[in-house]
Amino acid sequence: MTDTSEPILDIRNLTVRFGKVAAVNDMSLTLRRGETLGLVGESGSGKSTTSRAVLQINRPTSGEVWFDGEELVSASRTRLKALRQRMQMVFQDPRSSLDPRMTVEALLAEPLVIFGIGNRTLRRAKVAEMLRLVGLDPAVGSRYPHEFSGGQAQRIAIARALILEPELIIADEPVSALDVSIQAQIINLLVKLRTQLNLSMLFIAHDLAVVRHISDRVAVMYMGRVVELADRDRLYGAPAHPYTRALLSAVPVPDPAVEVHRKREILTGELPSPGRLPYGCAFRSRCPLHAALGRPEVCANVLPPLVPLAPNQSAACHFVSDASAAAARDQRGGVSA
Amino acid sequence: MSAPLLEVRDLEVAFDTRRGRVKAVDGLSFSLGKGEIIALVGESGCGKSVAVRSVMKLLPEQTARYEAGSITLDGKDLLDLDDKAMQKIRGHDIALIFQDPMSSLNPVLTIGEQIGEAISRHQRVSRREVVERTIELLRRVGIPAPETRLKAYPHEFSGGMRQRVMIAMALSCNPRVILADEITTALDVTIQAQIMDLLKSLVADAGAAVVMITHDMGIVAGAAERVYVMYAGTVVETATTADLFARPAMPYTWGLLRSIPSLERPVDEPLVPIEGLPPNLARLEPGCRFRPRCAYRRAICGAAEPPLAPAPDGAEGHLARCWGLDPENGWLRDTDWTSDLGDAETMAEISAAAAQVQGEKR
Ligand SMILES: Nc1ncnc2c1ncn2[C@@H]1O[C@H](COP(=O)(O)OP(=O)(O)OP(=O)(O)O)[C@@H](O)[C@H]1O
Ligand SMILES: Nc1ncnc2c1ncn2[C@@H]1O[C@H](COP(=O)(O)OP(=O)(O)OP(=O)(O)O)[C@@H](O)[C@H]1O
Ligand code: SF4
Ligand SMILES: [Mg+2]
Ligand SMILES: [Mg+2]
Repeated sequence: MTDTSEPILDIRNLTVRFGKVAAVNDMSLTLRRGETLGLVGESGSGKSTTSRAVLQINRPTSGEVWFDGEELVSASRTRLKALRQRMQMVFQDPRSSLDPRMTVEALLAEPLVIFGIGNRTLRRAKVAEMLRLVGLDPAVGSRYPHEFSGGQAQRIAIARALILEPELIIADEPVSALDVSIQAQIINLLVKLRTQLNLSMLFIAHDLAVVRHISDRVAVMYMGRVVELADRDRLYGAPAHPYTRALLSAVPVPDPAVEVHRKREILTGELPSPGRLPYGCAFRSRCPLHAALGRPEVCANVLPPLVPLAPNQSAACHFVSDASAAAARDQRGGVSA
Repeated sequence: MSAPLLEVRDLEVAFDTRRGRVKAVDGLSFSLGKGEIIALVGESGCGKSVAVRSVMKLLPEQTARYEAGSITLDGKDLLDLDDKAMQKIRGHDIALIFQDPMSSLNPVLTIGEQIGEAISRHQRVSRREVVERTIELLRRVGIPAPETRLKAYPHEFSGGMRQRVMIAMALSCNPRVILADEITTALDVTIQAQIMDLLKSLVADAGAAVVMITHDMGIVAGAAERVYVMYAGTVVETATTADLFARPAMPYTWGLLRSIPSLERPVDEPLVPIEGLPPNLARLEPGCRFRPRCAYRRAICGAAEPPLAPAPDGAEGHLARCWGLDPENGWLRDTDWTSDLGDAETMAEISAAAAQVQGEKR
């Protein structure tokens, strides 16, 4: 895993519009080979849209998506289909991604059948192996998806994505429906698999503790844009963007004694409507730093670009590197490293 | 404490399936007081959703059977009510917010139509009033510019927004009991914090009471007064939230707490999952349900199911189900769960058994 190697995934100026809504807005992001990049952010900030646009499930309005040196937006259907074997997705909602009329065994074997891999016996063995890998008894192979609880269904979806041993996994909230004990099994499993198979992973989740545990780098999205991108330890230890800071302070801590006395930076102010994004910084309406600084006009007039603050950290905020702003920020408190 | 608002007692619910009878809920008891928030936590498949669906009597009629126990609301047993009487209670007295907003919202109706329908189901109100209240409800759950979103369809909303729509629908008739099945699971934390604040304020202002199902121990810590830890259809430990986190008593709860990723924990320290799988409910073995995965087990654990008995810390209402806590012969009463992970040999047996399951059944 070296920085100089060609990235497995390179998203350049990606925009995805649904009518007036720019779900993803001129976004650029690079996934290094073998790396796990965590993608977090507000509900509706465009994480799922990004992942679907990468796989060309949603066609981008503009921009480019490079996968292992090939551009996907302009690729032919047949070429895309061939490449899809190497990139698999785990969806947010397992039930809608699993055909209810197929048995679990048939569901898992299907990708192998489509790509003509193995014979019946081999496929059976592989299916059993995958089920065991995700913590299910292979005897469940004869059952149908509706017979499983939400968490069990998600494990089936993960097994289905991993069965082709892809290079790139895009996992959209893959563990959020699982309870903690199984979550730990799956996270440990993903960590193990990505080393074993040199898997690169775009890992979308709303649980910042989970993302911290699995990611090498983390990108924070807000209203269709990346507002902060940093190495894991940097992001959690010294978050720069006021939104990242608010996010971290909202993470619930599994300790009632801590929770009672916890100071939260609860975000107030209206979320802007995605169809009518304000000029300037989209976070302005809820930004504690903007408020603390007396609502400077530049936030309303100029879109803050994502600028490097350190070799391993960039943020999109006009005041993030400003010393007085940092003081104002620290006074307000937040999570410390 | 005054008489509980909702009380579930010794509930047993089974499904008839091709593979035989699946006992999804097996001797479950919990009670909910006015203005209280309780949490049901536990492994995927342990029966949390079936439990709250039972309360609403929303289980598939052909296959689900209520085999024992009672579900009383204000002292009235819901299991005795016919379908028509239940219709009145659903939504009006008790509202259920589902885990899975995409499959419970109707894809061909607009958001405005669906919330409007929920409002007019139990109340006679004018069309204009319905629209106004719909907008108000959407605002209350934090949907931006709600008046412009009434004509949107569910697929145009993000997962988090759909969940908020579900909450708005559940709130439409000011229910006294809210059953919230994993409602914050798909949400990012700032909205999660808002939704939990919303639930807490509904409890404080409107006197609603909430049964919260979650697997997020952080949310439990911040919102619930009492926790019920479920395993394989029954409660294995219950305590006030403070007691449960300060002095968890039995091995399954220890396992749950050890497997939580937290912002505080060293990143390189691997999470400690609970090895093995939850038992197949169609063929439960005698003895403690957790025994097959428990690294602290002894011979007695296979003989009979341990009773839900007072935990060693002596706190009122702290109960746990484990032979290791037996006042006479218990061997886990003084165990430090943070350092003692159980017997190494037993742990190896558990891993081996987990690997074998697939070998034998094909
Ligand atoms: N098919 C669609 N038609 C219209 N609008 C859409 C569509 N899909 C997504 N959107 C809009 O695009 C924006 C981004 O949605 P997206 O699902 O990507 O968010 P997300 O970050 O994945 O959110 P969540 O965390 O809630 O899953 C939202 O405003 C959403 O309403
Ligand atoms: N309609 C059904 N027919 C047969 N079995 C069912 C049915 N619904 C649920 N079950 C079984 O009952 C058990 C409990 O399921 P339930 O959905 O209550 O789990 P849960 O605790 O809510 O899990 P999760 O956290 O994954 O949502 C599971 O073993 C499940 O397979
Ligand atoms: S009764 Fe035995 S098997 Fe069950 S939790 Fe206690 S020690 Fe473990
Ligand atoms: Mg999403
Ligand atoms: Mg459930």
